[in-house]
Amino acid sequence: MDFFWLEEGVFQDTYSQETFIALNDSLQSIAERRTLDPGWCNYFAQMLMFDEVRVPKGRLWKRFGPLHIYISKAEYIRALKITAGRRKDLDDCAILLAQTKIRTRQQAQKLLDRYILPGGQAKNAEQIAKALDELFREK
Amino acid sequence: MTFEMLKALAQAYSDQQKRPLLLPSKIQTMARAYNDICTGEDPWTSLGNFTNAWYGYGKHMRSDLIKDPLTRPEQETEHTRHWGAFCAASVDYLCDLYHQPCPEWARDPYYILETPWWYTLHPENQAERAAVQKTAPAPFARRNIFCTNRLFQNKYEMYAWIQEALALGFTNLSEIHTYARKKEISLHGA
Repeated sequence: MDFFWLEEGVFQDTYSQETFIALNDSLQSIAERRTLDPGWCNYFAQMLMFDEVRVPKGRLWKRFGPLHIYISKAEYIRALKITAGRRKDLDDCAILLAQTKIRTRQQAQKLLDRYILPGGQAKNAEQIAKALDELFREK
Repeated sequence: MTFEMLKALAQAYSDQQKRPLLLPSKIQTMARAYNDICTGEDPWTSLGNFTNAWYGYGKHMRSDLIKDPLTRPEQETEHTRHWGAFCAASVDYLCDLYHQPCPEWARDPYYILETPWWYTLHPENQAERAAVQKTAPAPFARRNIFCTNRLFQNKYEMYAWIQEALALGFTNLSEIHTYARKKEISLHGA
């Protein structure tokens, strides 16, 4: 499970370290209780795409006190998967795109334009082109 | 995202890495990953779990993650043959990349496919075949598997390279990302 922080306040020096210690303790306790992989919850995902994406407003899923969890839009995930372009992402995309009205390379490009910033597209240009080539090649 | 936020996240990641190591009750070796595939698990879920072990919690015990040979299923199918070869190729590839001795079983000619596996979305398409013939990493091509070279790119190394860039004094977000991407390309080739 990957998550993005929506508020930067959590990183203020006054309480960030305390926050992270509490968070890590909680994640470890859940991992032990539920026999999960130690990395089951990844809250560093922003480090990978910090200057490349436009994060859409998600749907509020749960509130736990001050912690509010939003679920991101499926089309945003599709855009991220095209950009990542690893084998497993393309396999996922083939299934996910079939569930949408996206049938052409141009439509997929519009999806990318909505969520991947120009700088992000430029940096990942080669892998995006390869992903689109494969996803929309004539059979 | 601000530079301060990135720095705080990188610091939190570094702190998390220093915590006492927690191993899961079930360590995902390659043999286990293949067994999961043969019993119906999605191949990339099984390999993803293996990747988490290889790059994450089991990084200090990599040889243990790959030493056991794959258990062949009673009834081989094209699916199990393909993925057996893919697991063997992955071990060979990762051992080469991270300077680990490659276990004997992974070099067994049994894992060389008799007919090429064009692992793309449109295997009949000639342009796609030509593309993967160029990009398939050698351990895969040797086993007659033709696929992309974007297979094992992962967040763990990216986090480490971002931290490296911060330690080197980079303060521009875009430059930090470019530094990490260049490292990724130099290691994985894409």
